[in-house]
Amino acid sequence: MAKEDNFDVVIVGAGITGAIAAKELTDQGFSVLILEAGAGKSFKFEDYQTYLDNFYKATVRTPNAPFPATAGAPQPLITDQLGIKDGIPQFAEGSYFHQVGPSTYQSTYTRQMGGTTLHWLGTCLRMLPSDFSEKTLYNSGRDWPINYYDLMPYYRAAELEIGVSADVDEQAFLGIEFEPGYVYPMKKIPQSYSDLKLQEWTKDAQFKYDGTSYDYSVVSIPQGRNSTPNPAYNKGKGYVPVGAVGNPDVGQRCEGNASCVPICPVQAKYNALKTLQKAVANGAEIRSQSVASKVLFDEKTGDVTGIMYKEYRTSESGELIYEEKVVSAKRYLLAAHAVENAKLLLASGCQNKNIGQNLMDHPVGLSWGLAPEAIGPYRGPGATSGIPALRDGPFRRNRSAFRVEIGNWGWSWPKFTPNSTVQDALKEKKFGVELRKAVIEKEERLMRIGMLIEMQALSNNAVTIDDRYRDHLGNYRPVITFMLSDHEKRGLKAARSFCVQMFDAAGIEDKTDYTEKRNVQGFLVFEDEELWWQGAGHYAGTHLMGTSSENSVVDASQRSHEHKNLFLTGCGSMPSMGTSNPTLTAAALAVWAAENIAKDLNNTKS
Amino acid sequence: MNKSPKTKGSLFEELSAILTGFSLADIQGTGLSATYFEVFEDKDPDAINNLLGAFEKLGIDYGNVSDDDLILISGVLEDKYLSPISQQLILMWYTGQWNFGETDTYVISKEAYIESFSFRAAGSHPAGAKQPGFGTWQFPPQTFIEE
Repeated sequence: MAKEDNFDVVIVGAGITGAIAAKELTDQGFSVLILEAGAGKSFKFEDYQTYLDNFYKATVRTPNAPFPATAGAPQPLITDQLGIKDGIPQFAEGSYFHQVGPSTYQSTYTRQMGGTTLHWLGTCLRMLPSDFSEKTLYNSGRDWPINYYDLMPYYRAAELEIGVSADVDEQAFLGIEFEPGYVYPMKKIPQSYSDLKLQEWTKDAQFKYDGTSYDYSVVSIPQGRNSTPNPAYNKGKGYVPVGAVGNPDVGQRCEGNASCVPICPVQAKYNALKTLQKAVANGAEIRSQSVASKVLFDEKTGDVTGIMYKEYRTSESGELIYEEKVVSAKRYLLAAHAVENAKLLLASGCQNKNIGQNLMDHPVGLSWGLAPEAIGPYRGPGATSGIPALRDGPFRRNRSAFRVEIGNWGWSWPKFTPNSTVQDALKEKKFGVELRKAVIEKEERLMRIGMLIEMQALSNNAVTIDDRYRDHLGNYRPVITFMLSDHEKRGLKAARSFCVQMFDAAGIEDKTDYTEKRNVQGFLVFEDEELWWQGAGHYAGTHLMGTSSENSVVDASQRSHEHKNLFLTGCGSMPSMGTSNPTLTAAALAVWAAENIAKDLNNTKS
Repeated sequence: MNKSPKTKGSLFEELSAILTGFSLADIQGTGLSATYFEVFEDKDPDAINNLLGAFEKLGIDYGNVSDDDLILISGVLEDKYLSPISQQLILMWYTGQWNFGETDTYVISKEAYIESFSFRAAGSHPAGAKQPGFGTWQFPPQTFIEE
């Protein structure tokens, strides 16, 4: 096969981290090629509309429902999980992951141009300073080789590129600091009516656990979602919201579609297409349906000599066909998210033993209840506020921290409302106005709380490969081994207790019932208590950064320890996530990785 | 004086309004009654025709539905042949899907989802459609007022 043009940088993955790196590098005049496994070459609004049509026509509106896999780029699906039978997790025929267990890794990601930001919620939380030194502070998990202060300028750059809406005064908690005078690009997304009621109902409440009392309050969530621009941003230069790709007047503000996961119909929510469009305008090339299958190395130096990829399409007769190609560059950046990055390195025969290990997620405990009065769910973004108080503390020596997310969409996640409520009323033979009354009387009071539990880096939680498990192109399918340790389970248990106490203080009738989840993935019994968790969609850790090839895959600059022209960025580089949704940190890391690559290239030039 | 007999279409609309609890204007406003009726005619013409026939026999004046009328209707719905089709009808309007809850369910059309009633009945709008505007989620919810 012919070897192709020499680019400055080849990036694997057209998701947020690949997009940001491409934009940063092309801004500085470097030539960039992005290889994207999935489909999508268009920045036309009409083409995005087909995703929306898929969403409207889906019978189950899961995160990937609008974004069907391309034949050569299968992706994990919620519908792969078929419950537990006789203690054994069941998976659908044709599932992308091969799950070894003992627990199911429940999260999904999207292999399309734009990546998982197509379906994400948009939560943009910085990590806490203490999250970077969990091992030193709490003898738990791993330390990062960098700290919050190192990352601060990159957080600002990420908050600009994504377009984050928040009021900085509210966000300086638990050690989080901002540069003096910093404001976010846009003012906070208005908090929901139910957030404000919950705040009112819990204003004097305390959480009591393990002999400690914690005050807590409801705080707005910073989000990558268009809101009112802050005229003070950038020393008074202000900020112009970025609307929909291909139709920029649309999506200038969140319009309350309340479907963020899985799709924002107007693209008020950030997705990586917005950054990809800028990169392409700068001259970046994107090849979609081009799945990287192997990184090629020079045996002597360990340098990457090229990336082999399979450019595939479906023939007229419906057959999946592909052509194998190799492309080379001066530097290579893997930005295909935690699982695919690790899988690619394993497929390439990389010897670093940490590759694929330390796979993390945020297990999300769900609790749900009936508020004492109408709060009006199914309005606005999926979550506009949370409770940060339990995200840090000395208790992290013994149990995981957790972040409380206050849901705005009723009991849809755990109980499939409102349709399930309609069905319940029909079972009682209700119809007409009586049916409507029965529905509203219950539905208008529904509140759901999610508790994101931090995970430690555990080396047994891992992505591996196995010759028995391949996709239709012959590429490896991820083999996943996963479980929660007691540290996480204690955190999940504490989080459940938090909800019980908070509901009680607020006068919310706790309707949480895990007995019906006994045969659903995520159910567990710990210290005689039934608990249940679901995946947050937060993959991390599989090529974490550290000080040596013994303990990590990349160094602090995200360069591979073994292969000096190879960088890996994104959540896979993170030794911990704390209790932050990781995308903002991954975006900051992508800005930094691009900077490191640019420095490297400039040093080589001179 | 005898009223002229109602067409099947208008019977279908009136019955849909009475069974869903939404007004005739809401039903007609979706623009979907002909589509939905066609789905029934395609999937189970006997059942839908029997249901419409039973409803017609009750001679209910749509503009003037009394509590006794509702009792008559619930009596009709108790019929074991008419109960499933009437629930199917309600679920179709509420979810935009045929056979909601079964493995062979499908969304009839994107308009069917967009015009579906379950989120409206819950006090909001279908997720991803009929968006009420920036910041509206901060205000107290509207509640259901019986017409």
